[in-house]
Amino acid sequence: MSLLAPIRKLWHSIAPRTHSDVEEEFRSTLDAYQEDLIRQGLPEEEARRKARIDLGQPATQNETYRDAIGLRVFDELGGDIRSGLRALRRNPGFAAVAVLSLAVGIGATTAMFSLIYAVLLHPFPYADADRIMNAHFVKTQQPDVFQWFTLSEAQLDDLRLAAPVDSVLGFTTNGHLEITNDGLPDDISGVYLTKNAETFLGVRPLFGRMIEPFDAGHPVVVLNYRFWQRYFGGDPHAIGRTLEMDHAPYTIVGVMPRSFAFNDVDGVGDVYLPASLMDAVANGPAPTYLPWIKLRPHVTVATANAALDPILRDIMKIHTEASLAWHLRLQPIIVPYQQDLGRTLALLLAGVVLLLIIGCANCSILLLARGRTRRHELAIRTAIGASRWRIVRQLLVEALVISCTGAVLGVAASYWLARLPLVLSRDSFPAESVIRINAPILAFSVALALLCGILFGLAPALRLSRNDPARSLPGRQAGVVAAPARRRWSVLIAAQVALTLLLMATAGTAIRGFLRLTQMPLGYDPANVMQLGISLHVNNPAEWSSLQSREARAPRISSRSGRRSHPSPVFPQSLSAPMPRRPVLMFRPRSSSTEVAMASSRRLV
Amino acid sequence: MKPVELPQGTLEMLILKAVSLGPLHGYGILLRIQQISGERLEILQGSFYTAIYRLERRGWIRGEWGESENNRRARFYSLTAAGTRQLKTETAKWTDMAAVVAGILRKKAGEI
Repeated sequence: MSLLAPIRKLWHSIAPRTHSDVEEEFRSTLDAYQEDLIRQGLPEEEARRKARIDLGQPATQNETYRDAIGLRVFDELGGDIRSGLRALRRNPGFAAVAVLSLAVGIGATTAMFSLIYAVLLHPFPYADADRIMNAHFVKTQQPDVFQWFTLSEAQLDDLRLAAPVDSVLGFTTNGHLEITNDGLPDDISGVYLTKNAETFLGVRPLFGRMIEPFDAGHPVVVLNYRFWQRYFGGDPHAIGRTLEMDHAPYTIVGVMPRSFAFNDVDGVGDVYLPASLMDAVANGPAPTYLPWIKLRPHVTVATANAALDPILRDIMKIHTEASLAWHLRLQPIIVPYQQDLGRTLALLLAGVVLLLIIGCANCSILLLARGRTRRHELAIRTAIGASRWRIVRQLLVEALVISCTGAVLGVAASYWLARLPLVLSRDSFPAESVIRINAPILAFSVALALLCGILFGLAPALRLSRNDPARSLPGRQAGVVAAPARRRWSVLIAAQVALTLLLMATAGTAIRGFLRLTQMPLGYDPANVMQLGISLHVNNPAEWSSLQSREARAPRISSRSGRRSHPSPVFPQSLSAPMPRRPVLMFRPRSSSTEVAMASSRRLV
Repeated sequence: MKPVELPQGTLEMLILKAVSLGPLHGYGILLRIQQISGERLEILQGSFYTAIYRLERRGWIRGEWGESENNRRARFYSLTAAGTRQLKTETAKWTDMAAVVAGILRKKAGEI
């Protein structure tokens, strides 16, 4: 009711009087006039006739009313839409082919657009995400070579004073923690955040709260959405419970929403902890953090780069000769994804746009073909007074009915299509990007539908409306296509073939690109190499060497190597914080069977 | 006397005038215009109601259902404030135009 009220009000302001209201008034006038005529001596039947001749028919009065208040265009459009829908129902085969070929094109294009929107335009849930910068040093001679750097709490404070800087978040690359509650020990990754995390990121937690400044020194923990789903089964009462990690109890104070997947640099953390707890963990030098720098509004990246380079050198006390070969580079956090994905997505987008154009050409051909059977109808319309513009409009509206039906189906399909690339290649996309159909995407597809309708409807409409009724009315059986029409057909068909070839070429290029990726040399032979991760949370060298010696005695392992971190293919971790790490053993079983490898690893642990 | 044909757009002005003398239903407006003109206007055409609807849409007249003299339900129109203003300007414009046109037509060869 409350929802309908404004619509009713709007409707009332457009057409204030109802059909029956208008008709009743007209009838009362008609009756009064008729009575007058009878009084003047006309017979009743004659009076009735004259009244209607002079004043008009009550049945058409509503039309007069709507025409007078300027609603006629809408009535005609409504009629065109109805006749378009009727035409579709009458030719289900034609309708199915036309609508489906458009639905595929519009669906794929909408899916691509929503993917691009989610991944490249609005991937992060953070406040002012476009002002948040990654910072690293780049070798001036070789811009590909870059180094991350970390800062201590005091250095972060100095950086916060710099003019172009709005605020700075410090965080650790994620360190491994072991859940030591009951049950199986579970290896999870924890990210330590400086105390301004809540204001810097500005993401509303799903439950509870984010890490706040007053948490300093308190063992509290905020959960990542996926971890919360996995470990607590999405229980909203997890807040306030205790999570025991590395034999120390932590109180759960919050759960972050699904879109929050801080951070992509070194894998998404399962739990977020206050940085003040770092002192207890790292029993080495003062803990250091990777910075995320949020620039003040309207500060360009170039200005900030120039201003911050000397400041950071001062803060980090690097004034060596060698360091001059490097310079600071701030980079919006979206850039790595744009570089990796931008080209691929552009290629895919080009592909689906081609698909859409092919669909449009398809519909054009179908409409032209059907137009031959409709000549008769259109000729009658012209003969009884429809203008050319009126006929073009009717044909265009019919085309739009097709394209909009296609768009509805396409958008429904794109809901699943858009998820496909994320399912196929999860790691290539920012973890935060959640694909959903929202207002800008709907607007995009509606615009696309209108554009398509006009694109494929205009040529047939113009062609069919140029119809000489004298020629087409008597000869309904005319089965020969006129020469100009045939030329137009060949142009359309040739264009379609060309576009299909182009699409195949694009697809071929894309596939070759992906194949090249899978065949990229790793620098070692991955055949039969197994990787085994073992969590060693206390940095105990004795435990490490005992493990190594037990592993050395394990049978059926041909060679082995060990390293004390898990592989991160994206970024070098040269300067990351000293964190407890998970050692990884790489070994090559003598036989190629995975079974054997599994058995060996079980013995080992 | 021969009936007079109305120039384009004057019907609306006449309706405003008819209604300004007191609320009238549609047929009453017709009768009154004919009566005032001394039965010399022929306006029983489809355009009559189009004019009424347009005037109501513009907010110059307002229609309300009521009871007619012979106990029939009828829609009575009355002039709104905007309609009163409109009638005034239209009347002034018409008088002006008529005077100018008549003045020109009256001129004889020697007077120019």
